Amino acid sequence: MTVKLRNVSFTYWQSDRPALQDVSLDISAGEFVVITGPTGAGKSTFLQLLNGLIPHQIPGNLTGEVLIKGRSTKAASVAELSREVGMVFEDPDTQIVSLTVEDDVAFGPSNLGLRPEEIRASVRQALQYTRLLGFEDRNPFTLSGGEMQSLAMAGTLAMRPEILALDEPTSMLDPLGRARIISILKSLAAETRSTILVVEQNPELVIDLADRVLLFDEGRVIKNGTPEQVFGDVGTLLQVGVKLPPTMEVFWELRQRGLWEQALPLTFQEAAEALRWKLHPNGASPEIRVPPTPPKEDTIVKVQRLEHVYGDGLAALKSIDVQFERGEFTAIVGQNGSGKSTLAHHLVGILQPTNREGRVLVDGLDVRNTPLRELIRHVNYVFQNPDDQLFQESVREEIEYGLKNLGIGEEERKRRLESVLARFGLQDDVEAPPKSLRRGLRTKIAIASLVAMQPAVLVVDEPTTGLDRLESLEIMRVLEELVDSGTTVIFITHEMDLVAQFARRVVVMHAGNVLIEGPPTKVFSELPILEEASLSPPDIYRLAALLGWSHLPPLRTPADLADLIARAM
Amino acid sequence: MALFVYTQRSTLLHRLHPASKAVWVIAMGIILSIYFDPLPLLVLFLINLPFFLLGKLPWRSWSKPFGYVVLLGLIGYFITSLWLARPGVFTRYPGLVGVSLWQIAGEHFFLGPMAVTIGGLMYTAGQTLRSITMVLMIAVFMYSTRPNDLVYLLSKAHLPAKLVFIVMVAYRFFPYIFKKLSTVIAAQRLRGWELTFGNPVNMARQFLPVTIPVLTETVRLSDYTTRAVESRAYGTSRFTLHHQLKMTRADWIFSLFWILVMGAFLGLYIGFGVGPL
Repeated sequence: MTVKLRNVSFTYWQSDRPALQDVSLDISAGEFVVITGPTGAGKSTFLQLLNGLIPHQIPGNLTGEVLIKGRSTKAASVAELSREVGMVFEDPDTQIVSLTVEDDVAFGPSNLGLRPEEIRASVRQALQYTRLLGFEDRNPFTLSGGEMQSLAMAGTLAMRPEILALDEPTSMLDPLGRARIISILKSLAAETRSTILVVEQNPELVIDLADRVLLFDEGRVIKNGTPEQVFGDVGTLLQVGVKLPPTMEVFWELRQRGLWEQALPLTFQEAAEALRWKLHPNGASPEIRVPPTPPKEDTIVKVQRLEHVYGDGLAALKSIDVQFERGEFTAIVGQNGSGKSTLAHHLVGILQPTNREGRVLVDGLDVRNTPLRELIRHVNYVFQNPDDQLFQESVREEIEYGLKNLGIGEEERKRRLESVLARFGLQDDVEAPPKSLRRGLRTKIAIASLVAMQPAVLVVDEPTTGLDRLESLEIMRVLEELVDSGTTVIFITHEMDLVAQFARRVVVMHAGNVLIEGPPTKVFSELPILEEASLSPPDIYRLAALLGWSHLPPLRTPADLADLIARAM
Repeated sequence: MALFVYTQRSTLLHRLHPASKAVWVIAMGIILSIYFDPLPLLVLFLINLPFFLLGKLPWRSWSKPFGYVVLLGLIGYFITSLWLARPGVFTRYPGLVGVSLWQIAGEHFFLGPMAVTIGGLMYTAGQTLRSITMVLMIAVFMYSTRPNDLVYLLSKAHLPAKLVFIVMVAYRFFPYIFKKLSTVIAAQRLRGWELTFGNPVNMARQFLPVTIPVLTETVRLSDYTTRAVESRAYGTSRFTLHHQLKMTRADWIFSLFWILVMGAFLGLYIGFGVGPL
């Protein structure tokens, strides 16, 4: 066995709850193992055991034994184990140590004291696997997220470890970045004999590569088997809080309606086949009534001929015109670098147009001429990382901070505090230090602290990054409630499933331009435009498109598609 | 923000061996640490200037952050100089102590007597010149020296792995901290945060909404970077490079030049008392 764990338990320092409990398992050489489970289930802790980060770097109480190729990780240092176990972490930003691509990939082999020609050969091979040949002299921090994560993989591969462990390698990437990493993993699985372990919140991305799936919950491995065995037990998955992949969920919904008895398809391709041949062989279309698009009524944000060129000459926005209606829930989508955040920064006055004609009007105010202190009473922006904002010692102080700065009186502050605590479900954590809470809650606090300032427009930048599906839904439902209570919410995201479920309008950006905007149904049917923006519609729209139906109604969830299929049968 | 970031380019300074650039930094560091007189410091700055220019620095993106550094330095040194009016502080130009342009008596101010003197202004000019030269030199060094080459050099000098790691991480952290600082400031301004000038204690307190997130995130980055670096075998063996690193004639000439400059300025300091104010 390449990896052997025997009765392993681990409790982090200063924690009273074990992160892993009595885990025993074996992994053979060459296996591709997908590890999934809800946030806090112990998946990352498990990976960090394999290269000795636990217990050598991360303090805590470890019992049991972890053996890598027969050698106990307690007896070897992290650096020694790195020859056997290569580790790729979630955030590519934290893994880069050098300032050229080539140097960064060479860092590991250099540490192993290899000869220059050996280092060069390893570097070249790793760059080839990760499709980074030609990038050697680039500064890693000028790469896209997907390229940076590829670089982190290359840095690990250059050390030629037998075991490659990847901790949510796609969770912080845009769709293009995800596709790149998945494609690299596919090549590695096909062309090398490496043992690959991937922690993945969206297991459908890699499920077709998996020999085995480990389902973690509360520090235990509760399912260990083939993808069919683990994902066939939907009851257990739902019980532990793992949201099913959207395509599987469509068939689960059909099964609930008594319309599907076979095994649930695991991948998009399997689902497509099932729909084509088993459900709807003759292509007859159900009667679909498409609701008319409501007319635009009350524009609250108007962007006109907006251009922005950064100091290094990068034209991030190229004379764009776009507007947002009062009370709308709008998603801005596009690859990294498409101009989404730059546009959002203009809405709150963090950036100003670099052309004279460029104008941004928000709630009747010209952003260029309005002092920020006044502007934030009308519009605000939640940064992607909640930790860029949180600094107080309690949730209460964090929420009151902005109100105090605006000079809001104590009584009104208290009223608003109570109101947002209730809306965001934060009553139990009101005196807790925000930094000690999990990321989903920290994101909620960051949003709540700005909602308390009662802006008419709230812009939220990638609020679900790093969250599992259930946490993402929780955040999005809070935003939806805000919209229902009259706030205009604009969110930036890469998660097309969330766009389908929540957005009432979508703005697609690419290379500093707005390519298309409109209701999700309209945007998701414009495949050539989406392709130009390197985007693809959510799986439920892709499945529906395969059925050849025209004039789709809005599909928000897999249940909506299941309803439609049921009507067609 | 390109300040303190290695950038791959083909300039004379990029081609020099890191050891010869280290000689420059050390030689200048020694001189700058003992010289306070703005006149020789100006000469020293002018000697360095061609090398700053040879590095083909990205002046456009540097100008703003560098301008802030100079401005902050000027203000800080000027404020300090207000209390440098005591006789005995300026040994080389004692006459300047008496030339007071503006003063406030001790009984009127809780921090004691203050005065704007010519000596104080010379002190401000000297300290600012020292800072500019030092910051530019370090920035040019970091801009033109590959981090891996520096790790190799320091390892060859038998420095402990932990110390080398600190240097390596410093390279990585400068751009990160600058970027994070600007994001956090924007995030807090959107919550109504403003900096008002006044009582220094209150001013320091006003920075907490910025410093706490920046420090917390920097600690987080350092923690994760440590894990990433350890996971890539850091400290296991002798560090090797994938490219040749050899001292060339240009390196020897460059090193010798700076050793001579250091010798000359040390001679002036010891032999003729040039340097102190």
